[in-house]
Amino acid sequence: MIGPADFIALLVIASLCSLDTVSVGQTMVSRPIVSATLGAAALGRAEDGLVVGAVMELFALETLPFGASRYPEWGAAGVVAATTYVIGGRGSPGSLAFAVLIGLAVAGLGSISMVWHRRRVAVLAGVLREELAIGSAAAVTRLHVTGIALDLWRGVLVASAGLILAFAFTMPVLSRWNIAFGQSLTWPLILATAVGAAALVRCARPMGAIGYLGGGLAVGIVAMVAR
Amino acid sequence: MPIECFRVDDRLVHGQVVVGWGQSLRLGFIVLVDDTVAANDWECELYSMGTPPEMTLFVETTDSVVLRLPEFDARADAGMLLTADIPTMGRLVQSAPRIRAVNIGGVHHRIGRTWRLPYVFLSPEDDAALAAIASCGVRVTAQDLPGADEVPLEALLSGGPA
Amino acid sequence: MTIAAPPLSVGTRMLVLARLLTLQGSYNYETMIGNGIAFAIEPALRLLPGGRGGEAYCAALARQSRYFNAHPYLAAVAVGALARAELSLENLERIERFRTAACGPLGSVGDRLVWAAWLPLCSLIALLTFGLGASPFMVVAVFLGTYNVGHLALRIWGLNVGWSDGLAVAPALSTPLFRRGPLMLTRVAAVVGGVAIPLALARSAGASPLGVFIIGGVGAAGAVMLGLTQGRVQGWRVSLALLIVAGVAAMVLR
Repeated sequence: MIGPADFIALLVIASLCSLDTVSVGQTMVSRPIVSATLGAAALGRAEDGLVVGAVMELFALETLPFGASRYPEWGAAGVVAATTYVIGGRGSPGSLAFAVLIGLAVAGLGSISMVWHRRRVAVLAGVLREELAIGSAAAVTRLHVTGIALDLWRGVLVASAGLILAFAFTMPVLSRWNIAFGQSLTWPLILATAVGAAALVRCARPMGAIGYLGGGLAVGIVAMVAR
Repeated sequence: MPIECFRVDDRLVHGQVVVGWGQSLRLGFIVLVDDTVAANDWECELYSMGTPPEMTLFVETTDSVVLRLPEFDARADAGMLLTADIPTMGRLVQSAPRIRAVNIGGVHHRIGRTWRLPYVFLSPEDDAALAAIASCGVRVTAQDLPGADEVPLEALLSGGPA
Repeated sequence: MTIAAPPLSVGTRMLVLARLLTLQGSYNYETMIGNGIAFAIEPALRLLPGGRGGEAYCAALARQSRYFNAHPYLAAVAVGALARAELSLENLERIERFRTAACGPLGSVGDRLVWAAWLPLCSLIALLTFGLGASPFMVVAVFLGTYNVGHLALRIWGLNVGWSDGLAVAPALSTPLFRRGPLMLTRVAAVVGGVAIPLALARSAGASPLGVFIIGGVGAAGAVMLGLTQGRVQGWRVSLALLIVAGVAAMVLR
């Protein structure tokens, strides 16, 4: 049973991971393999978080966070996906598929919210334009600190929305899930493999590294069979 | 292989160009058209450091590039031509009728310019220059990265997509 | 006329470095990271004649808060170079040109090295660690440890080289790390990725090798289809749409 204290812990972790995406640190705690693991660890189920985080990480391989371009925000998404997976239960049919679905949706919501945040900061920059133009250190600091605070608030909103979705819909959806465990498990894994492998090929091909990928794959297959 | 993309981008050679479009179009060369950059050795050096070793960078002036376009078009690899501003691209379109499409990849904020897209801010002069380019039968669209939505000129001129 | 820049104390460098970690705090579509550059460089500008709040300080801070954009880690090079230029009372036109010209190359070099090579490599190392059966703590520690060694080293190096070379920093970007590094890292990432994906799939699915072959085979076919779009379709969006359809089907079909 996940209680209010757990919810707050998840909200804090998700918001901080979200903040790491752009504004503070960029140490990559915002990557799903980390954020999902941390989120699930707060619920005492780090192993489950790692599984869903690894799947989400394959999707995140596609993301190149270039400047002003729009890209999914994985920080809060990882925590929400892990929470969904924990609520659903690892052995439940559809649990991983629904966790990944919610995770991707929150990543998309995060992407939209980043545009909102950058526009709000631009509005404030416009308000402070005259002060900035005369070199006011107070204005520089105010814009910067407000930007970070707004980004934290953005993370709180995205994470709240995602966590509410996870709490409200996971059990109702999974209780109506009529596809067998094995089959539902394969969907997110196939999609994650497709997206991750396509991203890897796109990076490797211009560098003439497809042969290296093939060699690695051969080793990986042998190692997998041997295990 | 002809130059695959004619792009207006005030950052010229940067990550979206060399990684985003470079991977997608498998670019082999970049033609940077800018009179100021071409006149400064240290700027040319800086831009060449920003170009991956697997791509060739040509820095040209607005005049010299017109003469060299057939040579670039005859190359075996794919290329992209970059200008930092819309008027420079407009002059190229006038001098090189073979340009059929122009990509607006980055025109950033400056006093007098208004928001159209996160990466496109335009002044009334920019609007007029884009309309003039389009009037030559050139397809003008905005798109920062290959995976992003392509925004037609009409949407840009009307204040950006809803 | 330029003068010799005053020395930058360790304390000032540490303060600038700490502020660089929040460089994108005020990221916005108008000035991009311009305000972040001003925020990071501000401790160094206090050394200008007249000190904090002086005429030179305010003029420099105003210049540095204007539009700028580059890779957030490599922007440290610009901060170091611009700090030296300002403290040397460098020609203002040259400072402006540097700010304009440095955006693209510092973005390009950083994006190629970090976003397109180092980050995917570290991510794939983490997936490999996961595939080999490591504990959650170990996977997270390996990922964050490996990634941030490179990340922090790049920021520290950038600030130092920018400060030591000033506006003549271009040759520093021609080091093998930046020219050949992305190629080497991508090759290593390709090998690691090849090994990691089957092992990670096996652990995620808890499936037999045959099950992994089926998932991997269908996934590879999907990757080929995505590849044919030449990056014009974002896989995560398609996946979200397909999962919604599949989820609805799973609830409706009996």
